[in-house]
Amino acid sequence: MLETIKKIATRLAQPDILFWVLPMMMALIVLGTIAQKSIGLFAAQQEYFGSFFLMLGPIPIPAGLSIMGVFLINLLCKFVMKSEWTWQKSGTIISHFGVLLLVFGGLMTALTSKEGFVMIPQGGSSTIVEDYHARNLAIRSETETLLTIPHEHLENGMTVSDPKIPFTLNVDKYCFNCTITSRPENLQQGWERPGIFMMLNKAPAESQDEKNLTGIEFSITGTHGVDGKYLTFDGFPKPPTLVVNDKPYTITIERARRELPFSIELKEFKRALHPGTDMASAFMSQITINDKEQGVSFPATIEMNEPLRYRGFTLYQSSFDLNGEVPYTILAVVENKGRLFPYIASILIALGLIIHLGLRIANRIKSRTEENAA
Amino acid sequence: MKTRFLSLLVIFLSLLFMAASPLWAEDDDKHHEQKPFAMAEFGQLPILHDGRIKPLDTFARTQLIRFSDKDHIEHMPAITWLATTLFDPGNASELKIFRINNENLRHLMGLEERKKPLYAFVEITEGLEKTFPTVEKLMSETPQNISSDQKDLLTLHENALEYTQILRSLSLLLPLNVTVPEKWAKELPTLSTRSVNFLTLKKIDAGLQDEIKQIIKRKGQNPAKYTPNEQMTAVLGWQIKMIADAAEGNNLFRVIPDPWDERNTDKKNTGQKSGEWISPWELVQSGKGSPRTSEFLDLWTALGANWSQLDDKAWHDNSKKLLALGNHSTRLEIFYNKLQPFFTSTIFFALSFLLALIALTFNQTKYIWFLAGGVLAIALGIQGLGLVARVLVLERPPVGTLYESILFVGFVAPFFAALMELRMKNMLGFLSAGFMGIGVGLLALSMAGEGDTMKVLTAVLNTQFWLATHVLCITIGYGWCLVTSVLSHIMLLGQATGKLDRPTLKNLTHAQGTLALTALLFTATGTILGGIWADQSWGRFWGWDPKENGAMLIVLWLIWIIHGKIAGQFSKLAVTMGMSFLSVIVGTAWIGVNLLGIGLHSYGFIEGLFWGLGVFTVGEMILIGGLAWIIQRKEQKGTIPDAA
Repeated sequence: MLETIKKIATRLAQPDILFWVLPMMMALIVLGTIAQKSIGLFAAQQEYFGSFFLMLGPIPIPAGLSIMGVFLINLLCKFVMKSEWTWQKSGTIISHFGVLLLVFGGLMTALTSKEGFVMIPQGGSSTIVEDYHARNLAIRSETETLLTIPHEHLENGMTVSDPKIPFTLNVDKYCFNCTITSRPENLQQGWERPGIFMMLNKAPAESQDEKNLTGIEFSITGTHGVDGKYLTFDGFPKPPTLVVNDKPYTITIERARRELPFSIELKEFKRALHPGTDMASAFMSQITINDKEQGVSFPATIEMNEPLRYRGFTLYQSSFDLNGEVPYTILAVVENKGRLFPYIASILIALGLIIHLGLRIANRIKSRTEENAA
Repeated sequence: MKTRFLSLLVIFLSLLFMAASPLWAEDDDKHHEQKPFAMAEFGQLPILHDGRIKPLDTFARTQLIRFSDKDHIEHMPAITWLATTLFDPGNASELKIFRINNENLRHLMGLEERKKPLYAFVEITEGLEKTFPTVEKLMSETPQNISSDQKDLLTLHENALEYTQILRSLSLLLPLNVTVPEKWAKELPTLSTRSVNFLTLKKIDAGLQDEIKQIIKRKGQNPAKYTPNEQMTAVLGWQIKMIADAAEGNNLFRVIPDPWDERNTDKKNTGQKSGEWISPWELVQSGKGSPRTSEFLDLWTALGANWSQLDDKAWHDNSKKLLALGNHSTRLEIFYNKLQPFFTSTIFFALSFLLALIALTFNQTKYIWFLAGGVLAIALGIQGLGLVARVLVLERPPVGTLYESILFVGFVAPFFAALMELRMKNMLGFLSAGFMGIGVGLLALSMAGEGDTMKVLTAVLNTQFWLATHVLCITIGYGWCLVTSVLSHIMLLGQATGKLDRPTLKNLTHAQGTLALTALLFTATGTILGGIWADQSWGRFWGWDPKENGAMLIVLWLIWIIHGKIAGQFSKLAVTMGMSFLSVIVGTAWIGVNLLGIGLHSYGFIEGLFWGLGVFTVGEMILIGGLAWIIQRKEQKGTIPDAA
């Protein structure tokens, strides 16, 4: 058994695997990069680099995960089975170990990292992280969330009913990306505000995922009072709220949310401009972290290239909004357990290459000296 | 919406300019033939433009390049053109500075055909007015739906707007050809010693407007009912209003430090870090004046008078005073402008290349080696000097934009090749250095046409640490890749022509391996450092951004060739072919991915670059493939040395 495993591992360590994997990886990178032009970064990432197979027309071809998987196995087997543990090969061994760490860290990041953003008005605070991409249909009663359905599960004709909600919701129209137009008068029959005046139309998906406006038109039945047709969409400031049995139910399409174990209070948002221009030279948020669980409260400043790391979360100055009455800061929030791997890997790869180069040059000088002596 | 406003404004200002031209005192055509004014100090005067303080000389050059694609008009340097435009707008508007290369646009504008398609502002104003409805429609179009002809039309309108701003920058200080009623003339104490300008008239404007209101109240709106004196008063009031209206929002010519910005008044702040500066019109219209700003205005007024009186000496003195008042040294940038380091170094690179070529052709390596090396050292010295000057002016590491990365590679790649030559001493290093100096130098020169190449950076790039680590590391990696590629080309060429003997080929093969490993070290480290920067800035190490993918492509290509060589999957010829093709991989990763117009490193689609890269790729494929075919034929016949 051990012999068989050894045999397999030795075969998997052969350089011909790398010889064929690398051009496939390069081809995939070229295709995935060009595809970003038409389908956008997020979709290209998912399709080309974040999946095992990809359909090129009718032909399935290996995608990022399978190619990286083969690469990782090949390198691991080579490292274990075929490394020459000599001083002369030390550079190569260190570099290869660095690459292994890098790929392993990448895998860990892909499996564990969570990204989102938190939007805080100046003077206000927040604990809610919203996802960049995942959208949900949510039904809430005041602050209590009664039901959430990921947008991928929504489809035309779908019926939503649940013991927690005293009505039935029928999805009449779902569009991942909607445009909003005014509803013609002859089609206003049965619609409740604001659906009387506006309608959602299906539009092709935007290449930048964040720009897609997801929405639904739906009918409510079983309420004996507020039955009718409604609509709601992502970021709608006044989503429909139905009062049934004296209890309000708000129906929204919103980014998937999760809660931070601490709150972030924005004291001040500052933006510096290059003189005489509208171009920002720097922007920063002065915040206070209030952590009741740990009984800690402290001020901090987050600016471009200088994030704040706290309790496994990293907060980055991502964007801002100065259009409202008060400025809003938008902080990216990332949890990534594989964060340290690239740092260690880069040191090892560079160190290994330097040792390898140094030994190569030293050997060359030595052989030249010997040639000259001879 | 913004562009729509700009277009409306340009039409409005053009018309106003045409209407207001007779207001300025006649200056004949004498400036076209006058003796040249001393422009040294005037060119050094500081101006805040595009986010940084720069000398007027740079401002003049970049503006003229914007309008005409050149930094001079016939024999007139850019700074003289700027002075003419500021102080003699009437005559300046007749200078042919608007280059319209698009034949369809010339036809649309109703312009006559010329050998050089350069037109004066006065010649295009009618066309601007005529094409305004088209421009207005274009404002509602998305950029993808705008044709190249329409894009050229929009660019011309925007250029005309910018030009109008310059033309009217000092219109408040220039002598006016107006008649002041006797009653008001008495209230202008300086009238006897200085000509009337908008600033002096502003002192009587309030009273004048009151009187006009009284006249209208008494006699109505019809000027025919007014007495000659009342008519004169009404005309003067209208003229003042027209000049002020036309200058509304004129904020391009920021030559006066904002007296209310603390950064300008902080005496400890003696460096180039500046606060806001404002234009003369902004100063007057905002009422931000102070004793110091009055000094500025007086000196600019005096310069205007010196210019019209052809008083070279006083012009020189006042320029010096203004320079001292501005308290910002711009000498280094003036030196940089005059030296044109990257143009000059390209010439020296070409010379060293020629010398190396001659030496190799005629086997005269002994003396020419020193000569070629000396010329190359001069080229590198000038290129290095240019880079240092940019670092000092911009106060940041040398690479922050695509253009700057080209300049930097234009230094490091020939430098590495020169180092290689010091070891090999066979002239091939100098040949490679000269060749790369020319190639990268020409690429840089083709991209310098954008105008001011010293740009301030966006917030995320505004970091000394990452610019000095990741960016330099990856660009040094590009440099090593180019050296590897050029050396591999030489190996292919040498083998195909039979010019390389066995020991040289062996040396080169070993050097190729070392170069490839060094290139891998820098590109791999640079790529990972970029990932770490992204982790610091955006919270993710790798985001599959086109530029990141491009950098990874280079690393993977190098790993592929190096491992293919070690494992014996690639023949020596295939390795040399692969290393030669590194030039295309680097070109694609360095410049090509930016053309996609997506991602965080996007610089937009540049048609010339796209086709250039396409031709380069096809050319390289033919060249490398062709040379490999010849070598293979020779190998089959056994007439080629083995490099082993």
